[in-house]
Amino acid sequence: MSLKKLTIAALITLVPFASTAVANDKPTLTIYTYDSFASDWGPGPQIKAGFEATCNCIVDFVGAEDAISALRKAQLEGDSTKADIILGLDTSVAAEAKSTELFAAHNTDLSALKLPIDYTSDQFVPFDYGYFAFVYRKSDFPNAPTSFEDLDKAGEDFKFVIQDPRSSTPGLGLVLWAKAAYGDDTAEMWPDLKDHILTVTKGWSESYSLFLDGEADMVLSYTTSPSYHKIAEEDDNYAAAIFDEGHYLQIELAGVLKSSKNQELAQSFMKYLVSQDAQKIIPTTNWMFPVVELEGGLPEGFATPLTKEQTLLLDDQDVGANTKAYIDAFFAGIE
Amino acid sequence: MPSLPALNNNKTRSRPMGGTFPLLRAPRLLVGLLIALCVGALICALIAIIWQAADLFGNPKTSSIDIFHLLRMSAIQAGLSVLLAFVTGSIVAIALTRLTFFGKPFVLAFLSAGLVLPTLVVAFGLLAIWGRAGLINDIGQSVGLGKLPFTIFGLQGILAAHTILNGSFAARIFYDRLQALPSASLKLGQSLGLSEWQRFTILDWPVLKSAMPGLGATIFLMCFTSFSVVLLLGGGPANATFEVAIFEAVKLDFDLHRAALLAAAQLAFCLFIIIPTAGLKSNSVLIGASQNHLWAATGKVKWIIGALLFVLMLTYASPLLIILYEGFDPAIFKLISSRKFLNALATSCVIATASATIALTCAMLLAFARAELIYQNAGATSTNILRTVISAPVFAYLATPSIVLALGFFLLARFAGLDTSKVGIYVVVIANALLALPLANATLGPPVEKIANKHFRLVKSLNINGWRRFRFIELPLIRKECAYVFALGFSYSFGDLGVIALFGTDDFSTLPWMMYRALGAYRSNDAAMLAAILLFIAVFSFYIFPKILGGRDNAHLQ
Repeated sequence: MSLKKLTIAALITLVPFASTAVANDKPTLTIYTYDSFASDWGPGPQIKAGFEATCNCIVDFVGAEDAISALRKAQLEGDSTKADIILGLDTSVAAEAKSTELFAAHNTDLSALKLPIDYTSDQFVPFDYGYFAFVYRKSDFPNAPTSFEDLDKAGEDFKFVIQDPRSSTPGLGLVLWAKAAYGDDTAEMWPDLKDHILTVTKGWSESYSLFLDGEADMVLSYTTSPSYHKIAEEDDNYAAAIFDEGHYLQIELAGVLKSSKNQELAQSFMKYLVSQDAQKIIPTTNWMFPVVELEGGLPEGFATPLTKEQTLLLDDQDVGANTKAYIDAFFAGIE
Repeated sequence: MPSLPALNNNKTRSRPMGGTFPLLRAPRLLVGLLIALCVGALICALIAIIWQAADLFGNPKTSSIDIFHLLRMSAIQAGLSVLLAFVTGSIVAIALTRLTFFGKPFVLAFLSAGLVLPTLVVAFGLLAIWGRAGLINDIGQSVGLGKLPFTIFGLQGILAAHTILNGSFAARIFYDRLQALPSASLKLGQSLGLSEWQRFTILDWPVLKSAMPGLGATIFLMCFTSFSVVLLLGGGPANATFEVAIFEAVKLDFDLHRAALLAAAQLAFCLFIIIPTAGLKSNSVLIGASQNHLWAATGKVKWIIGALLFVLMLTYASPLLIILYEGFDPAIFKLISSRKFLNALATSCVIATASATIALTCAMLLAFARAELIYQNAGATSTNILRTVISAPVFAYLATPSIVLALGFFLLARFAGLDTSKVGIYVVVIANALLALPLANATLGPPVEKIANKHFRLVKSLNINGWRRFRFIELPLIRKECAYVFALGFSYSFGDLGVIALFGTDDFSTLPWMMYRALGAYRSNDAAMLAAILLFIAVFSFYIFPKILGGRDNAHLQ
């Protein structure tokens, strides 16, 4: 009976998975992060190799769907969590993360960091940053839009695609961006733009695919997205539309958990994270800006950071207290 | 060897469940009930534990979710999807029974492939055909016809994607049921000179109707909870889903009370669909030896149904064919020889084999338990509570958002003291098996009950019970369906991984996961290749498993 054989085969093949524990004397530093950071294409593998070369430890990146999931996972695990560090949180969830009271103070000297605007936190170490922006094909737009208002003037058929602020980081970034640029006037801005919204996807990947497939003229992404096409694909046809209102900043953060039994090791990882060695990995793996001035400069063809005047950022506490209201207003505006 | 002595001694019994401890004398019923209750208890435990955990990790916030709006939108969309799937599916199935042509087995293997792919892949395939930059617009513009006058984004897009996903599955199930029409009936009908319409109303319709409750409930639930397709093609927040609301509750707010409540509300609503259909009996009146007899259509009818079949098959298959086309890239050889790919493939195969085995076993045992009711009932056709209890829990997983399954399983593992970083693969196997179970159940239920309806007298008079009944009566007749269910469970489990979200580790990867990772890292080329490979594996398994497991074509009792 072939069915029976298959059953037995299935059971046998499952057994090896039951015992994956590896005996090792070295301490393991467990870092919860978002999946694309930990994946082969992301910075994870190189950062792991770089830190392991000096720490006499094992670095274990555990990828969750996104950084907030990684935090929730650690929360649900409580004291029994293996996580020493949560990496990948950002300025839009920093207040929420802080309110969990799970994070220890970091002892990292951040004075050498070069961010577009001052950002201080006693619990979180910034490790890269980027600006939300609409990305387009140069061949489609001889004159790219230079403001939110321009989006409405780009023609009747003009469509852009965005992400749901409840499930996606850039999606939430757009809501905060509009708030920072227009304050309460966003209520009037969204109804003008809603006819140009092709769809609101769950995550960034789906939006970006729609854009690449030609279904949308623009996609909400980062100013650094064209750098990928230019450097990795040698395709110069992509650009980010630079708006007069300025661009909302996303700073990605890492924090050490109080419950970690490897406090010292975790703190030294934080120092490594903002070192030249780790930072030079960031641009062409995470496609974000490094937080220090790289010795060799940014890779050729990489985007340039915007100026302080072009940078928008709402206060962490303001975001933490009002995110829900901002999201509700956004949906009311485009409904 | 188990046997059922009780049956023969109760010839005069009028009610199905007479006697003091009837269940003890019907092990098949007992096993089926046990499985159903376990499945039901597990889903309740998953939601309850989230509610419990909310007290530990409480963070209640106010929310402005309009549950009734969400319910209404999802119900309309799912109801229309079922209707479209039934209409297109039955046309294709009827046409397939009346025509023979070269490549028919390939068409049949292709019919179920859409359903088991990650839904996003099918949605992107649909866009590649019907989208603004799709094939039809390209052709239209190059021959001077201009652009399509409509957009695929909106309710029409959601319905189109759902029809491709489910209509072809419905076609496959309907076709199998129609194939089981007895040759004798067909020959009789043919010699009586029934018109095509009479053939449909007298022979085909009762068969189609008997498959509709289970199939309809399954499709409805899949569309009701279809999350990524609705958001991708929905064209705006008006088509938001329960799942996004739960995402918000779990992730942004960490309000687990609300998450549990929303999940329970969705489940409760779905029960209105599940309970009535679970109680319905698939009283297939036409029973007999299965057909090798082809009553082919002739003349004008042949051309009409041939044309309909061609158009519908083209609609079903074109989004899939373009996935294959777009994934064909010389770089594919480098990809499939990479270690990461082979690891992911191996993991996917193990998960798929284990899930398919569990789903098939449970579906068989549940079907046998329902059939047992028929044997005990002497073929009577009333619905009863036991039937509902056995059938209903199976559907519950389809009605539960994957983030809730993930969270529930995670909390269960944690409170049971298990190492959550190690149980991930088992959770994926169990969850995938349970998600495939409704499909397996809808496929396997009707034929097993048909056998019971036909053979209950024989079984009684010969006292063929337990293992012997399975080995000599049931298995030969349902082998083909079992093989199909295995293929279905296998490729379905290749596809889904929503439940792993909280368990994930870097060294655990499946093919669909690899695909999503590629998408999330700008590697749309790799993602396209992986999508094509997934589709190839799905079609291949629908072709190969029936060959390996399905037995010979003529293994039917006369």
